[in-house]
Amino acid sequence: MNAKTKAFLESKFKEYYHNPVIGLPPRFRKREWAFVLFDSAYPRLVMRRHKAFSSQKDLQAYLGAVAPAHVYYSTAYYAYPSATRMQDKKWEGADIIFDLDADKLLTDSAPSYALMLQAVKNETDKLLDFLVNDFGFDYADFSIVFSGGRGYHVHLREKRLVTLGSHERREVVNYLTGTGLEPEYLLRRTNIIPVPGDNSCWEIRIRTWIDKYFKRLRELDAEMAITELAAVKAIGKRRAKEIVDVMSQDTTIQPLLQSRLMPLTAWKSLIREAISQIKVRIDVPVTADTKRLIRLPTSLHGGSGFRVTPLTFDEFRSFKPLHDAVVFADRSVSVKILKPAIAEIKGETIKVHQGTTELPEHTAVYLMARGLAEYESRRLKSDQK
Amino acid sequence: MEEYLALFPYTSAAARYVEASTRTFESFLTVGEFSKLILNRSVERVTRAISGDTPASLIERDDYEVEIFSYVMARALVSCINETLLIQRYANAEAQDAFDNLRHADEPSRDEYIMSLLEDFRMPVSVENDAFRLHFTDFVKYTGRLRGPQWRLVNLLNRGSVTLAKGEIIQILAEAVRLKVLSGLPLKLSGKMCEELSPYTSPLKEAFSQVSSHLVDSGPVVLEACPPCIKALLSQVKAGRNLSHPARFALTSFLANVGMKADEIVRIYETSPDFDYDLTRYQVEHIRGASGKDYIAPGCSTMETYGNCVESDGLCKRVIHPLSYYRVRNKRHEGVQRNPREGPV
Ligand code: SF4
Repeated sequence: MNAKTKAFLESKFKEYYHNPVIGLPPRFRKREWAFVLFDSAYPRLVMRRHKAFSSQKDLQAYLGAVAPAHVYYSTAYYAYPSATRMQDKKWEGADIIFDLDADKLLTDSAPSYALMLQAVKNETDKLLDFLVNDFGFDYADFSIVFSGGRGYHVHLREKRLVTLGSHERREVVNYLTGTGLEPEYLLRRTNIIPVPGDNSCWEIRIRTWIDKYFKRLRELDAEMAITELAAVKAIGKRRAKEIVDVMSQDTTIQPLLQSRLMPLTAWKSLIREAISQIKVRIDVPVTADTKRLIRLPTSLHGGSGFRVTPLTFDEFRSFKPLHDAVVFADRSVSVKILKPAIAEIKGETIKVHQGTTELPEHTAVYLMARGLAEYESRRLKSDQK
Repeated sequence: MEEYLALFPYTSAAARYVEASTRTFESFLTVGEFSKLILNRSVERVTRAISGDTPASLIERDDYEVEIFSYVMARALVSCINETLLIQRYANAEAQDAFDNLRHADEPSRDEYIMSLLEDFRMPVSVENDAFRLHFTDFVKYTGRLRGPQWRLVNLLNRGSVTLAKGEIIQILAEAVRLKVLSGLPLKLSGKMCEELSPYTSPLKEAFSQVSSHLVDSGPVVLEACPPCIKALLSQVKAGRNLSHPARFALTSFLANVGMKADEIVRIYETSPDFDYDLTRYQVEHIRGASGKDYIAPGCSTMETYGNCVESDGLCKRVIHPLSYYRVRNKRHEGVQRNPREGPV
């Protein structure tokens, strides 16, 4: 990223921070703040840490003056947030954060940015369901945030949670990721029936999954159902046929359970499959950490130019990140494209190729922030290096 | 109520009692019948944490004030000695006592104690048919050290809470006690105060450094290297005989100290006629602690006192601690075992 591009991005960010748009987290005075500036090192991240602010006005003034590329605050609350040594800060508690990131979700295929964000949104939906249904939180207890980059953050500040240590937070993580769920143990608890009971929400989830699984098989034609069942561990073709016969006698799995046709190994492997589909893929270390820095909602993400967008549950439902998190205008800007790329912003798909071109400001900012383009001042077009 | 305070002197109810009392800390350092009782009992509390082998039931609990104030004084003693390991073992010992007290109390008082402790530690529960529903945040706070699927949130959470049996609630309370005792320790006491307590802390310090010097580094456990006393205890357990409390403590702590895992130790007891999985598990885990060194196995003289020093052999004459015996034998054993062909050729 050259100096001109940095200066341009900084001026755009300054414009944004000039208006009073910043929302502050509760207890902001007790938090450590950290910034990455559009300085000479950028895009290498040099973090300016251990700052503290005592009023919204001070923070606002700081942001307006330096227009940082990235703005973070500590999830932890400290007695002395600006102390430079961690042990001097005196930890008093911390929000619990769930980080859902595309990197953790998609391993092989690299679909478009838009599709990727959709996948992360679905995963976030799963998380919210766990938090409300299993943990008993209220929708009002958490705030959902589009990170401005590749995913979502969910912040929880319920008072019984904030004093939990890292080890205890890990139990929460393990719950969400289904870590430590053993089919053997679940089955041992239910005595005779080879499916989990209803001792815990996880058991109910697995049970529901299994019911749905057989319901779907029942709706397939017999041949296909047999092929699918025969692929399950310890079920051969012949056994699969018998199972399909028994299964279609009823709308529940009761006859199947009574028939004892499914070997225990098969049940176990179904349960394992259920777990792997139900579990939430969150970024584990983030949630277990009691001293993380987290992006400030309402700030701008220096790697995309998008707004880190706080959302109510209803807003989240209808949220379209590549539309709703865009803050810059449509007026055109001249840029030099370094690598061919596709940008899908505000419902418009723009394909760009190497060379100089004119783009709407929001798309130009996005490509520059991602390091895919450099700013081209129109007047200086001739003296390119 | 008074009995409750005496049994559980670390509760806020007991703290309020101490605060309201006219007795001052300084007054215990002056001569007098009462201060003597307090000091002796507080030394006993710490001694028990050091050796770990005085069964709680041997301790007289008739004077509740002595119990309450000796707890306060014991905290001062361990704070002046200021050894992290001792402080941890002290907290373990109090937790173990709490556990025993709850298990041994008759049904009505046990229920009363449980409810009072839950309230004291601010753990709201709802109870139905001896099943306790506890908020998950309280559950995860006190189960970090407990192993096994029955303690994992992933197996228990149901709409924000977990449901526990009475026995499990007792284990959770014992852990809450351990953390409560641990919190605030070591106290920041003046040098002058520790000076005045030094006639009591010096012998304790001495005793503690003796036992901790016997710590052995863990490695694979070599049963052949165990001293005769431990071998005898092992074969008694194998033969299905019940061990006395001190014998059980000696065996468990010894095995833990030489690096045996909690699971393996529990399995050894499985053949006992009075085998209670949860209880054994709890005892083993607490004796073992996170490091395996929270409690140190008793020395030869203690073993002898309880009649557990049997079939002592030639090497025994040269050691004063079963762990030293093990260390010596284990070295020799290693020497014999080493395969000469394993080195570079
Ligand atoms: S002398 Fe010590 S090591 Fe030997 S048997 Fe007796 S207690 Fe065990």
